[in-house]
Parts: sequence; structure tokens; C-alpha cells
Amino acid sequence: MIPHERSLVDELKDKPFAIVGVNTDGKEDYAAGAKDEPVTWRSFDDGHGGTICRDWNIHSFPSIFVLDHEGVIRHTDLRGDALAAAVRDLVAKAEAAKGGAGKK
Amino acid sequence: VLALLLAGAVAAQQPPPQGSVERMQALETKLKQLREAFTRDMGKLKQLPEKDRDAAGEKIYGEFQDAAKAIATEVIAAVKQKPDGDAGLAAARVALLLELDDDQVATVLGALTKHHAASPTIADLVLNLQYVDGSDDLLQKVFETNRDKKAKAYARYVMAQRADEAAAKDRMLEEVGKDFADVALRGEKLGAVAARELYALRNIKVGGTPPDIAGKDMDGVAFKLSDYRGKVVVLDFWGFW
Repeated sequence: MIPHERSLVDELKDKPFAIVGVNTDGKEDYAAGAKDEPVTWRSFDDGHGGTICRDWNIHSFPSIFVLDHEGVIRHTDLRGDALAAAVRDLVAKAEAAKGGAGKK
Repeated sequence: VLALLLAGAVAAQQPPPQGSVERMQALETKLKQLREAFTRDMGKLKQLPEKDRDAAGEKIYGEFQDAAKAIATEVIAAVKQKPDGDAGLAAARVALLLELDDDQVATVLGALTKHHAASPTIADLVLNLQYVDGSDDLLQKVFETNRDKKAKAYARYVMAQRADEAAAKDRMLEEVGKDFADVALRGEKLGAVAARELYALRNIKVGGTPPDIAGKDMDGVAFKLSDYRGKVVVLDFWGFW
């Protein structure tokens, strides 16, 4: 998952797009893991599965939600190419919406 | 007085008889200690040279598994021998803390359903039924027949957790929030728990607007999910583990 996410971050770095993590390693294990696999996105520190996981009712990992530019959930549990394609599509829509607003 | 003290000391050293409530409590304590030791020993693996870690980890895991299996064998035998009464319930309670095979699960669920569904002290055990396959009949019976409000509430709450259909889950959580709002669960009130879970159920899905997240990043800097409004966001619940 991580190399794939990194490439998505690279590809869309100038676009209205971000990966936001909710990490469940705890600081120590996160730091150890990030040494081998650089993490290029920001994560909430949710301990070893804390209140964020609880509030979102998360019981399996990874759990992935794709939110559009208005904060509405558009997809859940996509992976790999399907995830990248869905993100590109939503990013195009976000840019179109922004462009449209700019012309007014 | 000295004689009394001595008698007390001797009694304290006597191991509790097989299958007794005290024996089950002793096994529960032992299991807890085993788990703590397991976590501690696994944590220490990092101190070993990397090449030795896998073998050492397997050994720790194997020893823990063997010890846990021995406890499971003993408590299941106790349930079989005396499924009713306090001892049967105590044995079933310990059994549900362990990894069991299908026959062992059936033994425990059978004893609980037949003898203990209406027990006034079953509430906490009910919470351990959430991930136990085949526990639905028992939960239903606890919910219908138990007169302890907490046991009833927990049974309904766990039934809601286990429900596959969103509509059924929604209905049961509504009921929990309405009928059992003041019952305590893990430091909260069920009213608050049900409200939160209903909100997640109704809004954390495709087409829904999820709750904002406010927290700290891995460097301790505060931020919010809503900081990213205007951008497409892949929200990823993850870990290296």
C-alpha cells in the first residue's frame, strides 16, 4: 500500500488532493517503520487504535475512504489502480468546480 | 490466636479444588499474567540480534499457546462436569477469554444458554460474546429473560454490533439509546455510545458527510480533517504493524 500511496502523492502534488492517515502504530513503531518506508503524508496519531477509530467504527485495517472536495464520502475500500482512478476522477471534478467558481 | 493464624495460613496455601469458583478465578488471574508476560517478552525481542528474533518469537508464542490451551482444556472440562451453578458460570467466563475450537465454543454456549441466560451476574460476560460465532441465540435469551438491566442492555448492544443489516443495527442501537441510556459501558453511558454509533452508521458511508476529525499528527501538531476541505482526500486508517 505505501509505495502506491507515495506515487499517488507524487502524481497529484500540485492538484487539490491529499492523503490523510489515521495511524494506529503509536509514535515509537511509527518512527521505526518510517525509517524503512518513507511516509509522505500526514497522519493523525490515534495511538494503538484510539478514539478516532472508535468514532468511525473501524474494525479492520487498512480502511480507506475517498472524500470529495466538499467532504462527502464517495468511495470506500478501494485499492490500487481502482483507488487511483477514482481519485483522478474526483480531482478533475474538484478542479472543474473551482474553475467554474472562478469565472463568476 | 496463633493457632487461628496458622490455620488461616495453611488454608491460604491449599490450592482451590478442581472445578471450583476459586479455581476458575485463579485460572483467570493466571491467564492475565501469561498475557502480560507474553506482551513483555515480545517487546523485548527488539533487543535480540535480528537473526535470532523469529525463532525466539516463535518460542514465546508457542509457550503462550500451550499454556493457554491447558487452561482452556481445564475450564471446558469444568463446564462439562458442572454446567450449572456459580462454578459453571465462572468456568464459562474464563473460557470466553480464550481461543477455543468449535466444540469448546458449543459446550460453553450450550451451558450458558441452558443454565445462565437469566443470571444476575452475566452482564460482563455478555460483552465477550461479540465475536463468538453462534452466540445469537444466547444473546436473544439474555435479552428476553434476564431481569438485570445491565445484562439486558449489554445483550441488546452486542446484538446490534453483530447485526449484518444496517437497518437492523440502526433499530437496535436506537432501542439501546432509548431504553438503556443510563447504563454504564467502559467508562461511558450507553446513551452516548449508541448516539455515536448511530451517527457513524448513518453518515460514515458513501454519500454521507462524516464527522470532522480533530487530533494531533505524528509530530504532535494539532490539525483537523476539515483543514482539507476543497481537496479530494484519501482518508486511510492504517499502521505499519
